[in-house]
Amino acid sequence: MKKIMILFVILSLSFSVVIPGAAPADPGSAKIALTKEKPITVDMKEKSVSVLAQVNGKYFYQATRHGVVFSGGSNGEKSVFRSYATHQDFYDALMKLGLKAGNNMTKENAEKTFVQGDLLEVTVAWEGAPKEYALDEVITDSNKKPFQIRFGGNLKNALQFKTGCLLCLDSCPVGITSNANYTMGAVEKRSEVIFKGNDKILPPDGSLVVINVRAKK
Amino acid sequence: MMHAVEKPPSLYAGPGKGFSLIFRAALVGFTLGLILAVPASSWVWLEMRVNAGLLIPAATLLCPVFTLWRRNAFSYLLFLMGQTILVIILLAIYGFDRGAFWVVPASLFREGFHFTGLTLKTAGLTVGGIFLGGNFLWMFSLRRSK
Repeated sequence: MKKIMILFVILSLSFSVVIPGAAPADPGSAKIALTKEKPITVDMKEKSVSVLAQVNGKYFYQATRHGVVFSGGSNGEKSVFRSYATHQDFYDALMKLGLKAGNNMTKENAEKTFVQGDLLEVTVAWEGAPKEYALDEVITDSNKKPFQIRFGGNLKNALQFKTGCLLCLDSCPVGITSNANYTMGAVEKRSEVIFKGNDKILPPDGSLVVINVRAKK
Repeated sequence: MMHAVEKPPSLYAGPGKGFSLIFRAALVGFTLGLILAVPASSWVWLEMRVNAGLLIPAATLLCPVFTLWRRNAFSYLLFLMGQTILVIILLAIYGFDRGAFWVVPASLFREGFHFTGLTLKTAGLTVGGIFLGGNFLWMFSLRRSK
């Protein structure tokens, strides 16, 4: 019995020590033009929208269906990136660029319907990044399908449900933009695909990033 | 000649009192909360809908209430067993991924207590400190009581 207890103590103390030792380095402060007070800009010349967000390192190890969610939304802690811009501001910015929303998704048809709307190119950059990465480089799709992000629209649902979703990783009737490769339920109901943040590329948890969205040519 | 039968170790340490009773129960509750929250959060359907981390503060609060009601302190053996079960659960779900080993408890702690301003590093150090400090204090108090 004593030997078992000693083993328990060693195991538990090892567990306690492993946790702090494995902690990654603090993210450096990002010299990004956007601020938490002004987290979104529209560049009419470049025809792009830029959103300030923060990495949530939890989803390096756990699957999610949320790419970018406003931190004050009910899904604010459920996404790879926590946005400082709201879903309303993001929608307005995309409309300002003249992009067309699909508005074809409803809760009733979501599991059988792929999102429509203008096709978008989404990239992610941060201070010290060697380049601007495509979204599907920083969020991995277990099926390795290149993302097909479309402007779903869904403003009415977004304001009603207050989830804060800017970008969903499967077709969604609430997210402002969605990945048209999959219908709703592909991640958590039918387990067709696993999405995770790519810790080999992304900076550590808490790091600030800029998400750029433009129409795909 | 009858030999005395050795009593198996108990999960309870007998009547306890005051801060020590509550502190130990809170440690056991914190561990129990993580034991419940880790597998819950690995279920993607549930994880996308609820804050599994809430199980941690719930268990941390309920265990002292339970122990006060029973007027019986939890034993150190129970705390050790809980930590071992937690390690086994993490290994079963995430394998020997050292990153997952600390990120998952840290993130659940952060979400459960709504410490959203904390980085995972700070949350991880806090969880580690709770276990390390809890083990140290408990073993120290056991030695003192002998």
